[in-house]
Amino acid sequence: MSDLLGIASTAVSAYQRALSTVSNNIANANTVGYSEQTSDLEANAPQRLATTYMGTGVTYNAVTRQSDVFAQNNVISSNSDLAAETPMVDYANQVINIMGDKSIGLSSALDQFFTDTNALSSDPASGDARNTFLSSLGGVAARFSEVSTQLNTVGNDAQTALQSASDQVNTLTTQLALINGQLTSNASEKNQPARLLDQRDLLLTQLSQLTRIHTSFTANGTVTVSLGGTITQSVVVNGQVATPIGLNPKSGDPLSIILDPYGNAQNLAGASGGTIGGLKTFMGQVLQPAQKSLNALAQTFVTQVNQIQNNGIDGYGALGQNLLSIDPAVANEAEAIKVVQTDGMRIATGSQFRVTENTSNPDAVKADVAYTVGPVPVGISNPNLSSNPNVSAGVPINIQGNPAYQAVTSVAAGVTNPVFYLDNAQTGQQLQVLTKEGRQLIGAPLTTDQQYQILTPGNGFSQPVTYSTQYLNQSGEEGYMGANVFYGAKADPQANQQFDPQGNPAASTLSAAVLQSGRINLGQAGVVIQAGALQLDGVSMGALNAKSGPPMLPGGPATLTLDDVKNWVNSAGLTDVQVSKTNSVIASSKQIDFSKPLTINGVSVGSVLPGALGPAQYNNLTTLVQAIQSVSSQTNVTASIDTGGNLVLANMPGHEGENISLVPAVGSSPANALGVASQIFTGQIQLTRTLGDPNNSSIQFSFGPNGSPKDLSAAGFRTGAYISGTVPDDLQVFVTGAGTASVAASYQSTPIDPQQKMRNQSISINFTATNHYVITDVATGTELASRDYDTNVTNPVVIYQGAQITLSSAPQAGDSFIVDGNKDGLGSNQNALAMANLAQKKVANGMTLSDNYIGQVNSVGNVSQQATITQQALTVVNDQAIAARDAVSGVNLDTEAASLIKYQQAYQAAAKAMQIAGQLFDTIVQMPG
Amino acid sequence: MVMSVSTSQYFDNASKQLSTIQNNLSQTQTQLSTSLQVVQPSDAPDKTSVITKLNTDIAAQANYTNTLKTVGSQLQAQDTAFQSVSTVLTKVRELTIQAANATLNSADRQTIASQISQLRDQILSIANTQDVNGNYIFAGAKVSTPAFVENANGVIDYKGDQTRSSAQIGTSLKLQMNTPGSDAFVRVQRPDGKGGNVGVGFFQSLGDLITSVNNSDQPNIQRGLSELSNLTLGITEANANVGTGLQAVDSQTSIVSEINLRLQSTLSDVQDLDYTTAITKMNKDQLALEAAQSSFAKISKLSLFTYM
Repeated sequence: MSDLLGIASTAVSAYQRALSTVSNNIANANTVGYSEQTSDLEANAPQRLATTYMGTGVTYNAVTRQSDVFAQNNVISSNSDLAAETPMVDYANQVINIMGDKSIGLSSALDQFFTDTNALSSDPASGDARNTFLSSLGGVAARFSEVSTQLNTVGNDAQTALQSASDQVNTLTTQLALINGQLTSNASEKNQPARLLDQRDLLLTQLSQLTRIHTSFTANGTVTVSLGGTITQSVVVNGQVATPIGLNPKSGDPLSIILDPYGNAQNLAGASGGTIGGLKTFMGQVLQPAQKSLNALAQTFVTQVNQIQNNGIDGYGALGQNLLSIDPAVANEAEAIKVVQTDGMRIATGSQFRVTENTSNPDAVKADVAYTVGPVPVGISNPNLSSNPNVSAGVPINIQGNPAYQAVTSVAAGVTNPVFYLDNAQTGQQLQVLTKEGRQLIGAPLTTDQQYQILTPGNGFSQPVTYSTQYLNQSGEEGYMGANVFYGAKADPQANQQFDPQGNPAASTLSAAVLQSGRINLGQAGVVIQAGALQLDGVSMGALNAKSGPPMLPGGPATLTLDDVKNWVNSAGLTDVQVSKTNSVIASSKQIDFSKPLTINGVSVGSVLPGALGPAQYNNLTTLVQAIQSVSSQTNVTASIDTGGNLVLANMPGHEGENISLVPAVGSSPANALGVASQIFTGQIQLTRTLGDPNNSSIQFSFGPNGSPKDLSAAGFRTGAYISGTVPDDLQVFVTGAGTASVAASYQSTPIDPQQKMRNQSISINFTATNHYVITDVATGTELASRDYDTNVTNPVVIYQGAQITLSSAPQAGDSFIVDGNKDGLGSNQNALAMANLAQKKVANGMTLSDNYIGQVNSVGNVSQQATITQQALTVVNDQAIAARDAVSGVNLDTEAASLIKYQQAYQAAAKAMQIAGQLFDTIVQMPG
Repeated sequence: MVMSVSTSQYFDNASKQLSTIQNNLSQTQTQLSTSLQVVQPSDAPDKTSVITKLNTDIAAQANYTNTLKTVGSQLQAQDTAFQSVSTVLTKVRELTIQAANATLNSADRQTIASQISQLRDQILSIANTQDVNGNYIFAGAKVSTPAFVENANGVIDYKGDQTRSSAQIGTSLKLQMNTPGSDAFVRVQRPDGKGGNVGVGFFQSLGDLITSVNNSDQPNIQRGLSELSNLTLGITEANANVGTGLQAVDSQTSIVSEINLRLQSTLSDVQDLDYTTAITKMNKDQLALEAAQSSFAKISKLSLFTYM
């Protein structure tokens, strides 16, 4: 009805709705997330009236929600940026307040520690100063632990916040999925209820504060949300499905957040920003590095303090033991430092070495000592020289021309009972054992040429070095530092441990010394050993001549027999030494092969052919022994089985020492049933000394002035260089003389720390002239070294095994100085000074301990400062984004008041039009008619 | 185009601004009450490391001050001891010169010998001086045993060692703080009759002098007299060294306190509050707060609805 009343009534109804919309805006002026709504009015379709069109009124078309996608997106992204800085500022500030605090932080504890160390260094003998030092050391340990614990607490807080943030994300995404579901009932976003869209945008805004999000919208307004770098990566809301996120329950990493942790777990690639991103950045870039640096510093502190302590002498004169330990069971080293000493006297304030001037020194020369720690010694330096006395285990010696010696090995002090055997020696070859200072202990005196060639720094000798034979082959009080040495072949009485009837150890008994030779080479002719070359128990032996053996060639000289050797030994006239001849061949049960033949002294013992005539058959050990025994009257050889199950061939009584030949008959198999070489085994001699005074009952074959190991081997004996007990000093072993030979050894390698050796030993440096001094071992009086004192150099220094002794002025003859291990120097403060100097030492990544810690505080401070500045800047950006959005979507009450007046007036006008329409009708009705 | 402002945003902004100003005021108030510019490290994270470093440096200077006090008192004790010994040695010398006078009879000399003997005992007791902890100060590092002990033959020998301990009294400055007895109570050289010299201990030399005076042995009294000069010289030299040490302690003490003062003033510049600036800032903030409050009260009343 395009009449007046109809038009007015559409207007009344439209403005009523418009007024409702304004009223709704006013009602929601303070509702969070509410977008202003405006009324969309439209003119009705006109009606054709004759030639013109007449308007038909107004329609309230729709409520329009005021929103701007661009402004909304700006708010969302600036929210994520700003929220990421908040945890950095809040938590980094907590960290710096812990680390930088004067009472919690480490710096003041370290300062106190060094103050007390200094006090201790200026009064090391004071018990109070020692206890104060210990308690302030405990203070440092406690402070390390305190800071570490506080950082852990911050870490736990951040961890909880991270967990809670990811829970909130899950709540929000679930709600978004629900809203998506409600939005599906309409095809167009324009027709969606404004309230749903407001809620959707509010949830997205809240989500963006927790983490950075990517969004995409469909035509009807449903939203897809992803946490990854793109919209398809790590999608958390897709249609009506929300995928939860959470901490990775499997990884120990507190920073690992993954998608769908309890379902189809996936990495949350590219997630950043928001509270979650901020917390992760804080933990990864601030907290964890801070904890790591603190732990490293704790480790350094403990190592350094212990190292210095270990290098000094405590109040009891002992080497300093560790002051601190770290409990390995605790993850954070800084939390686990413990002071392990409770006795202040255990603090090593003193230096390890001390020099004392002799009270009768003519001059007042002051001496000072320092010590340089050298490399850790190896017992036996030659790796090829194992402890195996077998000839076959020996290292080869090959000396041709110059130099006329070969170094065998060095022997560190502390090695016990070493013996070096020289086998297959050529004429004149000798084993030589010397100290690094040129004192010869074992061997034959070196010629001047040999001294010149051997005593070089390259061979491990000190410089300057002098040569001395004072202790050569001497033992006991005459020996080097009381050592017992021997060069030659020897046998000692054997101690046999006895047990009483109850099985308890009783006093041991001695059995006589027995020296057995090897197989004697009976092919030698003429003078086998020169007169005076060998000595038996100190008695010089005459010449050993080959007298009674058959000549090698008819008409040639007689060859050597065992009787020649026996008579030669007896000629020494030692009534308590008995000589016997012997011969035996031992076949190990493992080598015996019953399928092989055996011929002894030309008599066939058995055959391999079963059923053959003649010799007996054998197929086991018993029948083999029986077979040998059955022909023993022809061979003069008997067989027996020893306790080890081995077969032993020996001479028949009355034939002692005779050869045992296993040479087969011509044309038979070269291998024999015993599995030993098919050769002639020559006899041996055996010396037994009647047991008298146990100390003097050993049998010793040593060398006369012109004797050498080659002479001893001619009589069948093996030459060894023996040192009984512990080697007192570092030694060098050489072989001199041209030719090939081999050296085998047996020893127990237990080298002692050279520093401890020096500490346990007092040495005296005695100046025999202004330019010469000797170094003696105070305990034994042994002359360790004899050297010239070079007064021409600017700062002459006496160096002996790591100890460096310097003198304040030129010494006089008669000056002597004793260097010892400072066992009673309670007042010595050198090591306490070293501890105090730790304050200035750059031990922690090129920085001092304090500076390293301050550096850590500084880097946290910088992050905190940077985060604060960034936060301020991002707040401005965020405020602007919110203002821009609110300019579009916000409700301004003044604007609403204006709208209210506008629509009210229009409503009033429409109502007036209706009134007028009524009046017009009345006018027509009331017309007189 | 003018951006419109929603009503709720207007109220939010106003309350944010008010709280910012109030925070500033509260911060300034805390600074004023603690008189510190940096109340806690997070107030100025960039300055925390500087403050910590300065505190460490100040602690190091305090170390040196403590050490200097200890060393000073130790050197003082040595100084006193050496001066007493010098005085006693002068008396010994006077008595010896008296004994060398040919007019005296042997009984007089015996009296003098016993006087010198008492003086020697006096020196011995000084040489075995102990500190408050009972440690022998002239025994080198062997502080728990007396420095000079009479042996079975009646000879007094030095039993200490020659440890010369130093104290750190500056970043790169060390000072010897003890004098081993043998450095002060020196040996004298005496011909050994074989063309060389042998060292004779301080107390043995005095002992020999007493014997020779007692026996009226003129040649050895003369020898003793000349040795006495060397003994005195040893004490004087040791005393001079201690004196030099004491001077070093004095000068280092003033250097350390100078450095300390400088560090303290730097620390104060960094962490202490400048009252003028702080109070000015507080007044400014106060004014701003009042202005914000009154303008908010007025502007928030303006609404079209009041006119409808």
